[in-house]
Amino acid sequence: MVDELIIGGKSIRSRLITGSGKYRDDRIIKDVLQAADCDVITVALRRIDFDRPEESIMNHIPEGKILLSNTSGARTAEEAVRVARLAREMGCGNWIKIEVINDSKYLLPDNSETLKATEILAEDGFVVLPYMSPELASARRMVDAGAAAVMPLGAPIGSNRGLQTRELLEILISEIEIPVIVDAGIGRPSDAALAMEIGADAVLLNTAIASSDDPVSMACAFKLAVEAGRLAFLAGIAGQSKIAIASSPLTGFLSN
Amino acid sequence: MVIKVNGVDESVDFNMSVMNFLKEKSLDPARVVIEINHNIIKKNQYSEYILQDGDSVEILRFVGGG
Repeated sequence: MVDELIIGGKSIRSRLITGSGKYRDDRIIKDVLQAADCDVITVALRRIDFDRPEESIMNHIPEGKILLSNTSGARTAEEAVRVARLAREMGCGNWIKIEVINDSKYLLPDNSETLKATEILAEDGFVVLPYMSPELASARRMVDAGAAAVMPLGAPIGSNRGLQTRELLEILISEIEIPVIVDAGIGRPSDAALAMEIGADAVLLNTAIASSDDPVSMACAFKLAVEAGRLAFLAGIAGQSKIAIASSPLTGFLSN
Repeated sequence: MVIKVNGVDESVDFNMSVMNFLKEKSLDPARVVIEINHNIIKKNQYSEYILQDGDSVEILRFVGGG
């Protein structure tokens, strides 16, 4: 049986989605993406810097990757829809990560506005991946609204605090039939492995790689962690016990 | 005439097409998206669309993001 991840009708080989932000030097991105071996990369849309007109993150992203534009900066569904349609006009595909945030302290998404944007953009032919707080009723509505996957957070963006929302993530993974991609808060490869072990379909992370001392090595570590976690999930993780269960029989010892 | 570009007033010649404006600013049309008065301008219209006095222009490009 082939272990495929299908999003928006497309088969995605790698379950690690990486961001392209926060790098001390954007020129490292190419090497990071190679080490991460990911297929999907997120980008954002911002006003041109007229002092540096040649500058575009596209200069650092190799051909053949699926671009997942986000709607960061949007505080309402209306703004998210506007950004999404502009991003699509770049001609790099119609995948969109809906990010609607009107809380500047925790950067937690507004599920209600995100749902509104999901409905409009799914209807408009986008492959919609809404970034959301892990709440089952909202996730079900995102599915009904036409989302291609849901992207619940593990912890606030950039916090590197891991899967603080683990139990809620497990509920979504159990109940939501479209891919569940844990997005935000993943701080170390073991967090990514854990997300995959509990059954997430993929993970999305940016800060953990970009802000590490050696982003290229860290990208490789995350690649391995995501693969390990997925393999473990498919292999069927053994249950836990409160008491010890010996590895060898408790009889047949050599007598004194 | 005066247009607003990314929130800043700018003086431009009459009969300036979007494409020519991009060329003046050394911007690659393939690397930007443009909205004028809240309408997205399709890339294949950059040469035809002539900027008007008072236009509010937004020019954006992809940057790093998570």
